[in-house]
Amino acid sequence: MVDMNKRNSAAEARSDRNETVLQLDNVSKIIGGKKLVNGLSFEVKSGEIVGLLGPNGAGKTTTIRMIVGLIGMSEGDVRIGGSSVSKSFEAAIRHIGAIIENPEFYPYMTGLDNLKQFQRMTEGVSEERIREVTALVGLQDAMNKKVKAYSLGMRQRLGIAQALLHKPKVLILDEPTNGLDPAGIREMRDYLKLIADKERIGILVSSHMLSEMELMCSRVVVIQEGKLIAVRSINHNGSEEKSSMSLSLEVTDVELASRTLAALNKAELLSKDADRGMLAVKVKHEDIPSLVKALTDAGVGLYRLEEIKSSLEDEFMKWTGANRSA
Amino acid sequence: MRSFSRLVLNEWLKLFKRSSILVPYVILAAYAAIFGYAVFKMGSEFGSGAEFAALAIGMSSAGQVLPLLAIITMAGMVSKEYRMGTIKLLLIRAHSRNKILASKYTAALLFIISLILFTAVAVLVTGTVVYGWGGEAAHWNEIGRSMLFMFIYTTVYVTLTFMIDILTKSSGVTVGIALFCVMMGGLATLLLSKYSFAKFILFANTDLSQFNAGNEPMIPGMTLPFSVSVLIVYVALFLLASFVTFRKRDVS
Repeated sequence: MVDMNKRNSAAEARSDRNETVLQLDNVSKIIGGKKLVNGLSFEVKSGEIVGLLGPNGAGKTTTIRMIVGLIGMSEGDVRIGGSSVSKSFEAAIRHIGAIIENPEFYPYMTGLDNLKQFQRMTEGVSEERIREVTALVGLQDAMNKKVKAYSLGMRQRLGIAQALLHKPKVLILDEPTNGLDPAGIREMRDYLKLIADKERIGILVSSHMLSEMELMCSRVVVIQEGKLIAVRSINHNGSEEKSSMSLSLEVTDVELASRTLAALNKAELLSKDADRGMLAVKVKHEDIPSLVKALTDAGVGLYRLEEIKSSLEDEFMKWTGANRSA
Repeated sequence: MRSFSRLVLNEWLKLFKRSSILVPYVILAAYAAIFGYAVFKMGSEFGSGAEFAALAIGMSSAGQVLPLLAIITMAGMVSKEYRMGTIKLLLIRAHSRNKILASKYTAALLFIISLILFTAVAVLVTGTVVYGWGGEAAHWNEIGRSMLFMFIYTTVYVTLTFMIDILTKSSGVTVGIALFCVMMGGLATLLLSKYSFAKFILFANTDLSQFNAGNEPMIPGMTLPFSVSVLIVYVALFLLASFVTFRKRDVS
């Protein structure tokens, strides 16, 4: 039985590469004439981690609760693994594992008793699978302790164990790094990347920790006042190397440097600051060596050369307006 | 069906994994012992253990304790899930909300049955210790009848408690309102008994032992089938309100 499950899921994983596992279609929530969520559409594919970003009150929590059916939708629909949440809830929800806000358990029961509660609620979760997920999150030694004696980090991990128990296609996490210490956050991030990659689970994470999302996600969806305002891919491995990038240079002679660059005609001058000896240029990746050579040949001394990266935070502020705090 | 019984088992374990669940059983055991001691001291003579048990499990004796214990234990069955936040994990599994709520209600009914069976055993043990084992068929019949009426009485009030718990989402408020109904319901009926509509009041009908031989119904003209019909209508309404609210409510 276990073997068969494994084989099935391995086969599925192969055939379902980059299949859309979660699809929001024009979803709205209207309460008292006010649109808390307004015509939101986006998708999550298997194996990718998508961040749902937005300032407080943007509708992140409402959106996530509509996806899992805790809150009804006023308009639109959510499809999970091909099934509609509003029309065939039971078929749709079985593909989802989630932690909504804090992972909450029955405090007077042990970790194992809590997981067994969830085991009984789903068909085909074996004792073996319980051992597997507890080992995965490193809670083997704490399974017979009552949950009220758990630290927040341990409860988070038990939350993940609970969410993965039935081998979902989509994992939904609302503020998963809330209350975790830096080591815990890093562990969580590595772990999420691992399961997205290995088990080809699509993961939707909501957070306001921008730097954290930048490290964790392959894509972010930014919403404000219930509306989608941007979708942006984040490249971790420098796949944008071929395109042009912005560089900041610190040189001995700004004037000479800018003349040299103009003559080279491969770089676009963005700004210069003669007092500090700095200039910023836009240049293609493959042209950087020739740029450095031209400067050196012209007798311009080069102290420093670095890429100017626009952080997610900068862009976020641009999108949502700087006066709002995330 | 198997998946439903596993949901009921979950609810049962949620009740019984707490040590406080022992309290109602301890109180009922203490009730049986104290009641036995009291009637013995007062010099009442019973021919057998069953005769004592038939009195001790009646609506005017154990019926004053057991329903209250059931209400106090069951209040919070749903609202505590909201308070602890576990409702979120409960509702995002592949089960309809109807099924989840039905499993809770089923567990509540099983709990009532366990309380009644426990009480029956406790009063029989007490009676046997004091008056010896044995009893006539009439006594055994009376015990059975009392247990059935106790079950109906307690179930009606627990269903009411269940509904208030869902509507208010507060176990404290629920205990308050439900106990108030149990205590004041009879009194209110008594005050209104000169009006003919009073026989349709829930509280006039909950205690079916009023139709036992030798007892007078609360309001003249009431019969056992009439009261049973009224109770069925009330319980159906309470359950309808509970399920509709639970199904529709946004969890935020």
